[in-house]
Amino acid sequence: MKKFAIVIFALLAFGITTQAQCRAFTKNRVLPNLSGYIQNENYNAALFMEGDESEVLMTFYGGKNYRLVVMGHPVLPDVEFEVLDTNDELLYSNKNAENKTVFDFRMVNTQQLKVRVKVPDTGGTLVHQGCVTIVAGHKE
Amino acid sequence: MVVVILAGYMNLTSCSGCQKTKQDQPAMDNKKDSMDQARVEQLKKIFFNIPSPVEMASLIKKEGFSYDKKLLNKVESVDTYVGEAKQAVNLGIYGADLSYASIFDQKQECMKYFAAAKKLATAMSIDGGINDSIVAKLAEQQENRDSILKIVTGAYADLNGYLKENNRVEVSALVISGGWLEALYLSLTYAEKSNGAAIKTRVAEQKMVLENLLNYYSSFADRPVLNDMKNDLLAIQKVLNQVEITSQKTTVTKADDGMMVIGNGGKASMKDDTMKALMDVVKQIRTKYIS
Repeated sequence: MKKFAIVIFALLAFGITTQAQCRAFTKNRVLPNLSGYIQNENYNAALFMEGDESEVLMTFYGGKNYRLVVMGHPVLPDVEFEVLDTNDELLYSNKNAENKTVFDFRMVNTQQLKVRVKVPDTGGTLVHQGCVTIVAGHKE
Repeated sequence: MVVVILAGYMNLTSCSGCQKTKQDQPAMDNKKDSMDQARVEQLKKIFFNIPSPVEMASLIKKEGFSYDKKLLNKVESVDTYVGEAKQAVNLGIYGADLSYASIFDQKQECMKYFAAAKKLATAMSIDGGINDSIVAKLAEQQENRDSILKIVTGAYADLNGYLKENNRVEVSALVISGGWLEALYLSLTYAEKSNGAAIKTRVAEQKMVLENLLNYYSSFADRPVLNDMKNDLLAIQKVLNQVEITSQKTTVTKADDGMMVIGNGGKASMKDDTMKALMDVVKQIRTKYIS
């Protein structure tokens, strides 16, 4: 009975640990890319499978410089992300960018922008799943 | 036997990066559709963002205004907050106060507000974000404003991450709402002063932020713990609906330093009587939560 309880406890502990992996991934792999910028306190990270996509609407204030960092776990193919205005006009895509994970920009006026992320589907037999994180930081 | 159970569990459990074979997935089209929709809804609750209270505070400082300790929610009130909703909102309020104190280099005040936030987080059984090691780190960095800001914003981001990953997304929504409410209150106080024009514009721009926040609330099915705050936000929206926002076609150019510049967008304007009405409703709502 004691051995059974230990096994169940280990399974539960393992589950809790895996749920925290996106936070650890964000802290250790993503946030260092925000160096020099003040991080926004919102948390935007989740497990994505190949083919998953999501979008977040963000408000950026006029007169400020921002950095957007969008990163996926290395097990995933390169995460694609776009920045669009609220009329769905494409303002930026990382597809042809030299740096695929960081986008620096300056806002003239305050505006809401959509950040759309997608994990490409490689069509293989193995389905990869990993954390995808979006963080934003600002400076004057 | 233990190894077999663990191996089986590892196959089923998510991890920060792993792989499964497509043959392991159920081949039932109906189930796939409902699972996709469930995942879409789940991601909507996680992927949400409004500007940080730090941004409002930094504008207040940039416009040449001074720190006013009397504006903030008293740390001594922390023990009076009972119930998850009130605790969560005040955790957000203290977070905004902490951001304000950090921007103005009020190191001792930062320590007090951080301690109050930690007390609330502990009372709410939140293990992530604000803990003893972070408090110690903050104490060590008291001479370095940038480091303090990094610790404070990092702690709150991690706290929100902890809540989302432990199925307490509603609590995260309340923390964020409390922070937004307090930042709005502080900004309104300065917007009313002469030379407060830039802050008044920033307050008017909250019409966009609030719309996003209320859309976020609507992504939850009816959750009693969110009802009070939702109704309060709707009352604020009733006033902010009087704000005019003009929009123009967005432009993207490259500055001489190579930075991408996103231009045009919208301009927000707010009449003085709207601002007064806004302050009245915000004060009333804030008083309800902090007393």
